[in-house]
Amino acid sequence: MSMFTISGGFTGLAASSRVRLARNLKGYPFRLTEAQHKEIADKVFAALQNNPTIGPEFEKKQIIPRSTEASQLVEEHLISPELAQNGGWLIVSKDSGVSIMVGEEDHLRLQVIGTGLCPKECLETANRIAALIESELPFAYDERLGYLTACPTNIGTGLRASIMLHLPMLTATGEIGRMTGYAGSRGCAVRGAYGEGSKAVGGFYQISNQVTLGASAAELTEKLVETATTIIDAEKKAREQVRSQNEAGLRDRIYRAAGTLRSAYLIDTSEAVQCISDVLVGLQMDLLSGVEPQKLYELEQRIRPAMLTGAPQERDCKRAELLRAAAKDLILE
Amino acid sequence: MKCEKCGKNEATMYYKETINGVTREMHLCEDCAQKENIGGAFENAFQSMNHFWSDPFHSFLGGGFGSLWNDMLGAPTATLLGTERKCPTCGMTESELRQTGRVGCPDCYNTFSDILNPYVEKIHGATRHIGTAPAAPEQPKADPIETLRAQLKTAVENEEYEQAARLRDEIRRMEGEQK
Repeated sequence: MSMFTISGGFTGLAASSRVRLARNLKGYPFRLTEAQHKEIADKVFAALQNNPTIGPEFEKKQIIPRSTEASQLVEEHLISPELAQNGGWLIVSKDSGVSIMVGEEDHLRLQVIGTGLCPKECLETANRIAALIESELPFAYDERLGYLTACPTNIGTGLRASIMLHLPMLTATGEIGRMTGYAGSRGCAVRGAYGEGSKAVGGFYQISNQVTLGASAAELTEKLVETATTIIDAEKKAREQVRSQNEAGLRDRIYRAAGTLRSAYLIDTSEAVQCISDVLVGLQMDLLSGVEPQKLYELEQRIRPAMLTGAPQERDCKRAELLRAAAKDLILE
Repeated sequence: MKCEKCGKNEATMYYKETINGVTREMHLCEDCAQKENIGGAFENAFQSMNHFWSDPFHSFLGGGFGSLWNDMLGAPTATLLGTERKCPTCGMTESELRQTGRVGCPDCYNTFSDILNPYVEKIHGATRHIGTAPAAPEQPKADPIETLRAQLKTAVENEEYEQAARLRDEIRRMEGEQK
């Protein structure tokens, strides 16, 4: 059942990892008709089905434009908003670890998601699935430019590897700017995972490779992991520094956040994200226990306004209810 | 119609540009069009795309990183109507490429290599793919000069003379390299 469930380390600081490969089938233009989308989805699905181990893990779904199911799949990060808008096909593993979009700007967008720091493992799986498809359906490939894509920004490896990092202390100390510069010098981009531009609510950031040509996918991923690890170490150091300077203040803030999550009856998104962020720090620093960080990362996604329905106060009430349920097992150390 | 610039040669190109809402139209001969650096506007338009690292997974990445499309909308536009280059395989035109920043088919990378290669180098800081390649080696490729000759024939038949001239020059260059 969980053939493609990938988990990595640093779960207290790295929420999730993702790898995406862009591929196009040889012999087709990049922009396809609806009938061609179906044809390609059928071919890719059949190629996977030919493998007796992997085949049964996958199912194929048609994406009806602007349908409720399409928006739910966007919320689950299984399809892009563009695919939900325009329609197409999704070939997805039962555990949702591997998903292949058919009908995005490239014929195939193969994605592998895991928890924690695991882009290398995600890449291995992505390569395995891509090779399986390619053995039956040749991809558009050029010896000089590598895998050809609809947008020149993706050619070569077609790789976008990214890691979601939780860096609240680097954000508080302002050191995040220096870290972003460091990442840039290593060919990686750091962006606030939520909110506009560089302002990262709750200290959540996405770090990803910038270029796709001139280095192998494995090298690009390796560099991303090295860069992320350096940033994670800096965050850990910043956390310990705060502990050594003002442990009482740190405990107070974390315990108050835990208290809010356990007791609030109405809570808006920004307060909730801030409290989750503080509690995650508490869990990583052993000042709190009893709840898995992964559960909080997932919750952090589920409490966003788009995920809850109703009037603003109703949403604040539902949000608080979800948080109370998740935080009830928190133990102050 | 005579060229509006020199008044001597026959005008073979129709040029239209819109910058900040002001539209300028001209009928020019090939020489004057070159002197006017028509097509240069296209290069400038590409300059503004350097910050483009958009990912289709906007929800996953948080979105809001700007899109190529938005960058391009504000850029000056220049269109060479009638004499425009087209990809022989998918029919994508130079202005479509410029407007969308997307190519139409794998062969576009060849057709528009003069535009795309410098752009690719600018984005990636590299010109060559490294790493994973298809497992089975491809069939030996047809003689590249023969392929170009076939394209030249098609271009002449379709009266795409500018494209034909470009192909002719490319064939001469490659023949020169072989000598």
